Amino acid sequence: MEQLEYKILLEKYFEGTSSIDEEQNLKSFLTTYTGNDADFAEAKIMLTALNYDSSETIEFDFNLIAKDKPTKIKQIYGIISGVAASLIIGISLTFILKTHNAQIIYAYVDGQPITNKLEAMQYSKQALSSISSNLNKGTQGLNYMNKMNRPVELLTSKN
Amino acid sequence: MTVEEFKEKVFILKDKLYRFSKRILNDETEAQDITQDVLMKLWNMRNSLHKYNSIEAFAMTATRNLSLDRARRKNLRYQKAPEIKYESETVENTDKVEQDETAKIIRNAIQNLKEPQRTIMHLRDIEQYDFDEIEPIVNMTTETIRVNLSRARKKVREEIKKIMSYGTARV
Repeated sequence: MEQLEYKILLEKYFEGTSSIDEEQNLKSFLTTYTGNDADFAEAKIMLTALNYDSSETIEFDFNLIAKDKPTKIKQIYGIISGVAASLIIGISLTFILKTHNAQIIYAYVDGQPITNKLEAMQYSKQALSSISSNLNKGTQGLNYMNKMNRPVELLTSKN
Repeated sequence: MTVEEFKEKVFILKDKLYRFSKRILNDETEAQDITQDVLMKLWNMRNSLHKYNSIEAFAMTATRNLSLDRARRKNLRYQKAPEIKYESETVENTDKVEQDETAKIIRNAIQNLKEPQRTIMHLRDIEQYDFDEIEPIVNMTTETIRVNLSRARKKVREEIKKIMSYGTARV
């Protein structure tokens, strides 16, 4: 190819209308170009630098990526963990509530625990009435003493 | 997809993904992170990758999206990019120094381009992508890509012209 053709190719390059093959061709030409043409010199600098940049690489260990567990497995792990945690909390609460309810003993009758509230109340009533019946014995005699106190009350009320 | 297949079809793209991410983020470490993230995503979905027409286009699109997102979060995208910190290499001759300096200038010139010109120029001039390969990555028509590519190349040429006319390397 003549230099003029490369000039046209260079123009196409800057217009963004050149193909990859044409650009490769242009690069090959510019790599070996040693003339004084300013357009070619500028393009040579540019394309050499771009070529230089394209050779940059990264060191990367494949195991770093492969170690990462798939998202789906992660999600399954998350779900399983959530369900397990909920079950543990539920079972614990049930157990605590059950044991808590079973331990409420309202009374002891003849050494036997009474856990029924109403039954315990009945026993309590019986016990209280038996105590009060014993305390009321002999109180009838005190009525006579009340009669003796009546005149005193009458006298004090007149004043 | 087996491990070997993954290595052959996907893992081999690591350099391209890294260069692309670095072009957008202008940061080596961030670009490495993004590359790792993208490769991990692809590894996790390795059994469904056959659904995609081009795994490379898919990987590059994912890299672009993640990198732009990271850049936005770090507020880097619209800032004037600082000079890329490249690993220091042993300089063996003056040609190498010149090549490095020139590469830096061109790199900065590309770095200062706006999106999507930067992405398009990178994909075309560094990764040698065809227009139909660039289309799905930037989500543009071939004609729009051509216009953007032309503008980008001309801008970079202007920078080189400036340097050459001043006779000094503005690094």
